Amino acid sequence: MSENKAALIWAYLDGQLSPADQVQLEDWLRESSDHRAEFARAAMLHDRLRGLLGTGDEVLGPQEVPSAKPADALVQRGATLKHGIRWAISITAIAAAVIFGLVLWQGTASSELRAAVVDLQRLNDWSRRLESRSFRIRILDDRPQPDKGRRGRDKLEPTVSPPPKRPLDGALLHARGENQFVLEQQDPREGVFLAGCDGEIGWSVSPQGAARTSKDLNQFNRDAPGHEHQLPLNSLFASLDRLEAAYRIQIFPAAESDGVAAPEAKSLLVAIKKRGQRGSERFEVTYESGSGRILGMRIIDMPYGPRRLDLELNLEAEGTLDQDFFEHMSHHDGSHPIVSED
Amino acid sequence: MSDEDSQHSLKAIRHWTLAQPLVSAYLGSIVPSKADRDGLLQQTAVAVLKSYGSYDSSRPFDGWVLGVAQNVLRNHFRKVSRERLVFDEVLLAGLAESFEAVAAEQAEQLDRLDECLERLAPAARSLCDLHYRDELSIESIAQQLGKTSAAVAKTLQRVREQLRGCIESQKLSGEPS
Repeated sequence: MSENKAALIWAYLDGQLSPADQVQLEDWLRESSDHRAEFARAAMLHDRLRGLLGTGDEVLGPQEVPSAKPADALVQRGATLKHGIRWAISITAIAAAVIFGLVLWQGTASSELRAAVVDLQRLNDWSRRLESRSFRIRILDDRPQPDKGRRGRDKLEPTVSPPPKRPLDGALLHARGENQFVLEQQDPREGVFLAGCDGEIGWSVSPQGAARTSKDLNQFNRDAPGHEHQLPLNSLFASLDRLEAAYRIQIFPAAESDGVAAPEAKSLLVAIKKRGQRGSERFEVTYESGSGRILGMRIIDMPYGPRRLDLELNLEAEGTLDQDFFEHMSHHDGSHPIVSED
Repeated sequence: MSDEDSQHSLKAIRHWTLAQPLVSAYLGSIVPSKADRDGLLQQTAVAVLKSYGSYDSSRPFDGWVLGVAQNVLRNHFRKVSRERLVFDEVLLAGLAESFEAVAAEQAEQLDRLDECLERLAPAARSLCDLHYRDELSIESIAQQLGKTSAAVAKTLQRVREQLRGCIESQKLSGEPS
């Protein structure tokens, strides 16, 4: 290959080619399969250099793995994933998506693939079970929204401000299935404020005012973590296609002894927001490897009204709530006024 | 998910895992933006899983998966305005064939790239780092180094040809190439 043609190929791959040179390159590529093979070799070298030397903001280095819940062993396992494949996928067959998309990151070691498949099947099965779960919310950090970009947005926003957000610290989030939830928040002015959804009706119950209902299931979920992507956290995995659309997902399976993870060993799933997407910067989910049982979640840099929050949700109870707990009538007496917003 | 489904997924995963670098390079050669390439690669992964049932295992997977990638590219170019010239369909198909033809040879050679990078002179390695690690354009590097863009492009071309020579060399076990 002449130096001139090599220069054309590299200029093309570096995005430096002029339209005239592009035509020249195309003509040369059309001339023979040998030319196209030369181009393919250069492109593969270029791509591998990107992969080897690129920092790849989509990949967690071992030092970046969150340190709160997961065992140290997870951190060590994370290190082995560095050169793995980094993409999740979105399909309607969610179980397959979980396995296919997440396992892609595990690299080519078949034992890791198998471990992750089994792990994620359990996680998926657990998430789909119709048991109630109750998570206690704890705020780790609460700060104002950065000024950046707000000025421009303010110009476009209506002059009527939305009502202030109620505090989330200490709140309880009960959830069941994909779309049933009750969020209990202690409001300093009103007392305990409830918002929820029974799967057919969204509702809120204020101790001072009326109960409000709506057929829009998302009408009252604006305080529930994860609502930015219609992701009640209980159904994180049933809604993986939605999560995946906005986040890159990476999994750190529990460390194994003799190739088998202990049933109570903890695995970690980390979802990092893709560029240009709205919502929280990052989700971290810690779950039992043996059962897929979610033990806790952390949400980093979650927009909450004019604030940004880091928070964690810890599993407090499972299967303890009655069937009708997610209906608003369970939370007020018959004389309480009810206003439909439909 | 049944055992059969699980086995099916595992097969797809194994095939995809091995073919992914090839597909990444192919897509990256058509769509130079790394973000666009990653998005298309993800779409290809989805399409591979969805249509894996139609893959004829008596035929090479590389060829099949590059066909899937071409479909993804076609859809992509239908949706987005073409900001830069791209190859036409005939050339896209011809390139896919060439990528498939050199895939096995390149997979072996590129496994040596780590070692060859270590052998680069500090200035050459630094240039690679600026371009690939820091993702600086040729112009930005030229500004930073106080050189012309043409000079940087030429030097970078030589470094990459040097790497090409190194990975093609069979004398890698401690012997200088």
